Amino acid sequence: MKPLITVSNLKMHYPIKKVDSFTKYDLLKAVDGISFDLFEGETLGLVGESGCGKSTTRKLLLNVEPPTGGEVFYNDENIFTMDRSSLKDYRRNVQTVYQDPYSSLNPKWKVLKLVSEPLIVHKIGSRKSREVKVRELLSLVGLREQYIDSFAHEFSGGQRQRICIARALALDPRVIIADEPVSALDVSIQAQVINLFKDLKERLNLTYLFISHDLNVVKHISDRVAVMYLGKIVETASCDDLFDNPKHPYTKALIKSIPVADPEEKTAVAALKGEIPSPIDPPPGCAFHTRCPEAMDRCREIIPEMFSISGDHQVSCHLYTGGNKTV
Amino acid sequence: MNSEFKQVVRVYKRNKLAVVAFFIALILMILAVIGPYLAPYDPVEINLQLRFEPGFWEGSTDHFLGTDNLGRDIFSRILYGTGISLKVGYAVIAITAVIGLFIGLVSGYFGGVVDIVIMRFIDILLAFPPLLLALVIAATLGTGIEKAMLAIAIIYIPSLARIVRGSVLTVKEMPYVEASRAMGAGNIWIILGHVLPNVLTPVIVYLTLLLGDAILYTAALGFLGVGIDPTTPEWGAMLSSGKDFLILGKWWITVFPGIMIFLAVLSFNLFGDGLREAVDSKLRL
Repeated sequence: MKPLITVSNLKMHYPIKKVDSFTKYDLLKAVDGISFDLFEGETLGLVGESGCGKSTTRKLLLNVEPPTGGEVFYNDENIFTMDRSSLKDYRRNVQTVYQDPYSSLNPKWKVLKLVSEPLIVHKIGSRKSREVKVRELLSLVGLREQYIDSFAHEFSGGQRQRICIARALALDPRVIIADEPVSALDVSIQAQVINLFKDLKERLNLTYLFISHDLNVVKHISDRVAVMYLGKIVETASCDDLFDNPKHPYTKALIKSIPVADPEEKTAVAALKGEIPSPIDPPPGCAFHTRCPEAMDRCREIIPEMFSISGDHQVSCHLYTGGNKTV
Repeated sequence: MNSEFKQVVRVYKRNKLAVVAFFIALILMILAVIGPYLAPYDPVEINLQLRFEPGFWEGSTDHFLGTDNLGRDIFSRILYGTGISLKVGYAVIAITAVIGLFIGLVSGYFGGVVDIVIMRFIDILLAFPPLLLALVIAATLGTGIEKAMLAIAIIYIPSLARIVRGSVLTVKEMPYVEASRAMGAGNIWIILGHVLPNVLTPVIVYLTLLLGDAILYTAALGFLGVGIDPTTPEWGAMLSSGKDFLILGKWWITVFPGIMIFLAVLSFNLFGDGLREAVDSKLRL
């Protein structure tokens, strides 16, 4: 199957001014060479700790910032070099939902304008037809049509997130990049919004890139999962495979850290020790070796390659290079 | 749009003080237009025999608010001055708002070299004492009330541009701006639709405080011999020319124009305050 979007060795290194120098810059490697495919109709979960580059990945995929390296292909064209009409087509087909439903809606606008903004920007329809479309979208995401004349601050967090989803759907996109879309919501509302995402996907044949730090949410919604650590993807696998049979020590630790709803059960191994290292000066070799319980000598020197274990299960860890080491 | 306007009016009406302020401002504006026709005397006619005549508090009916040090009728001067002072005040506000917003938006939104160049230039302007700067500009431009307005506006533009730029820097990082860009919106759409409406609140506050300053600076410029002709019946000029006679107990020369400035500034401030509340969607229910 041909992927809808192919990300190839994408890099974003931000220059950071050194404190003690006027001319020298450090590089903050927010995203450091990631590659993945997004297939039509799937939900790809992207997980990782805060600061691992998830949101930078979103920005790059939306082409609101040029990357410092790498490509993103859509219809065999690199989105960073494609011509205006192709880019317009890309923007039409790739929409986003953000983490904070409070700051992702302009407080001075009413719902009608908020949801129809993509239509206005793309000069689609007349005033009348846009209003009809907005009403349709509101009922699609489970909001009452009367809300069309209200401001965003009159809604609860969950309702605002529904408005954001309606806005994202206005152009009938193929892909939705959802950046932590439920992490700002109450748990009960989270379930509703996730179910809305699942429901919409089936009805509209959408493809999701679902960015989250919450493994339970990712497990619930994803078909495939990619795990990010310090600007790199360390493991990708189908959702079931990843949770049942994690390979990378980081993935293992993450999965162990998921709270279990059973007071009797003791977590056998403590979750990861230490903090995520600074992306300004990432550790040499495997970026994870500073916190890895199974770190070896070569982990400190050689950057591990992405290695395919079976089918679509890939991992970048020295434990598996050679393909014959089993755990 | 009509219902939008009605809603604004409805919220505005709740603030009684603002309603009073609105009517005072309205009366002042009407006076600005018809004042000259109501004035009983020529505002610049000098009559040295009638210097320092007190007004109604001593039973005078000829000169309702008394006469000044040159025997000019204060009541007539105030009526004539309404038009001039309000024109100066509102024009300064308008010029400052338009140019200040423009510079602040461009500088904050585009950033980079544009921002650095504009901000350094603004730093230069801010380094001068305001009155000195206005004096230099007015002296360079020559005399005339329009030139005085421009000179005064120029001393406020840098601070306003700074305020706007600061707010723009915050707003342009908001996710709704990124969302807009990601869906393919152009810079004009984002600036006018997202950034401008969300930076207006501090701008309105700043501008409402500017009216009184503008009137007084006009007087100061006139007093220093640039810009406005000091014999012009302008409130600020009347105030500053009368202050020397306060010590002689001739308070009315200063007090009446002072009251007018006070009313104009206060009504404008309260009006602006009420307006800000009424258009702020968050306070509306």
